[in-house]
Amino acid sequence: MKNKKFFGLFLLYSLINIIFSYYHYNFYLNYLKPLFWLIFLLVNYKEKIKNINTKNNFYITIIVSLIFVILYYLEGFFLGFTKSPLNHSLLGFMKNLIIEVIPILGLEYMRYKMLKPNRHHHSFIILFTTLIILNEINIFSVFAYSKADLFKYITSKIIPSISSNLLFNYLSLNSNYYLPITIKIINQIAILLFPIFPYCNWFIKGSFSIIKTVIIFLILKHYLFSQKNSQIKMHQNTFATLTYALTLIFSTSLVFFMLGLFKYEPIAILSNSMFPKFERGDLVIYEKNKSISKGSIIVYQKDSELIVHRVVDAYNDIYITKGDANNIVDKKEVLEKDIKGVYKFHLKYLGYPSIWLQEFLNEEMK
Amino acid sequence: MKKKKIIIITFLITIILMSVGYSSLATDLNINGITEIAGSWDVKITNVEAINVSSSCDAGKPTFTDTSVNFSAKLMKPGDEITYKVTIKNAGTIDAKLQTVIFTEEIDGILALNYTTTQITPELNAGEETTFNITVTYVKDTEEIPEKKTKTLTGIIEYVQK
Repeated sequence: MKNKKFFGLFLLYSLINIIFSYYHYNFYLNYLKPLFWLIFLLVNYKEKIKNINTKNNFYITIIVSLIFVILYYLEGFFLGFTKSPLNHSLLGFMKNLIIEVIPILGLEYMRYKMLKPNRHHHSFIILFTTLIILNEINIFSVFAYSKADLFKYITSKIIPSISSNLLFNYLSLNSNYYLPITIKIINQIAILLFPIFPYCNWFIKGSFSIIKTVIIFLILKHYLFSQKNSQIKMHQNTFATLTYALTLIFSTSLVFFMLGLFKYEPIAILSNSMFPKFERGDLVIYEKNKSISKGSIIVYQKDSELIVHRVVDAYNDIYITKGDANNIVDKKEVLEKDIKGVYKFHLKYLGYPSIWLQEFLNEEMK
Repeated sequence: MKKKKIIIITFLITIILMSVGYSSLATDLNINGITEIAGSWDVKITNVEAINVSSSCDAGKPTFTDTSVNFSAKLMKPGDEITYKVTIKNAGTIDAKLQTVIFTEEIDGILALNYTTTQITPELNAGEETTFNITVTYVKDTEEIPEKKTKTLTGIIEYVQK
């Protein structure tokens, strides 16, 4: 392993991070952490990088950084935006900037100094990346979580951390520390300056973080790191890009579908109340904003529970529903505002993964 | 080529697993705090409960989001009152100060029902929790006997970074 001194410093930083996770975390984040990285940079930063085709790389870096910001704010188009609670006065902005930027400069320089010379030591790269991720997430807090909360935490915190660190590792190994620093700092400046934030839940955070990472990776791979030596390699690159693009389209479509952005939305069936039409484990696809009549099978929500039953009577925008296999009508009347959509078709057994996961995570049924 | 396959397969499995998890778990909107910065912003209302209800009155089921509370208080006779306690917690790592407090009551023209609030803590540092009370009262000496004796209130309480 090369640059052992840097690794020692990083272990020291990790230790300080762990200790202060329990005591005076606020003080650590606002003062100690930026101070640590400032001292690190002042003592260790001594070099200049020779860039080939610097001007071109600079423009691509700025464009990619802006795309990163745009992708982040696009998350807000699903659930809306919320007002930024950050201090937007000049003093507040400068204070937030110093707290955010100095650790970014330090960490990305550290990453470059550790990974580039040790690029062939894969186990070391994995170890170093794991340590960075453990520093970013509060690993000790997860022991208090329920299984369901742990699943959400992994999706919203750990997976984004893994995907972003893999991206920045890739940049450090194939380029230098300018790229990750520029991307991160421009993103932070936007967050600190803009008066709004995307309003998102754990699923959007997790899924968009890796989709965003793959998009940035594809752009950089194509424009900065692509091999243009031979026609065969160009063909391979085109095929690879196409494969990635198709994967991205499928994944993004799946995320949009789960978020209910399309006309149709899925719901897993938990009981046999509508047997023999469909039964537990089936996946019902329902259509939103469709007209309802007597006999329609509707999806409605009552007290945080989604129910799929048939309309047996209707008057004055109030619906009486009943499961086909039930002897009596449902206790509560269904109002117009409770209705999510109308049954379109169902797919046998495709709801089971969702049911099994829910039972495993031991959550209350939707 | 092999590396590319591994990346694509891992990516697809992760997205599919997250999607299945999303369909399984409750999908109530939950801002996870702002974690794109070193600290995290997580100031929100965590509880609303009725703590003092005059006999025969109905405190209803108060609801709340991260920054708002809503309740309908049903009172029966002059002198009745219902008090709600609202809890706000700063579970993040950024100190906060109160910026917005707006209470909106349903336009009902009823003068006999009014409300008061105790002071809301102007500063809420990281890790701290605070409460305040809202009391809805049926005025004692009123001659008005409204047909509808329910007061519906919505309160918006917003903190920002100190």
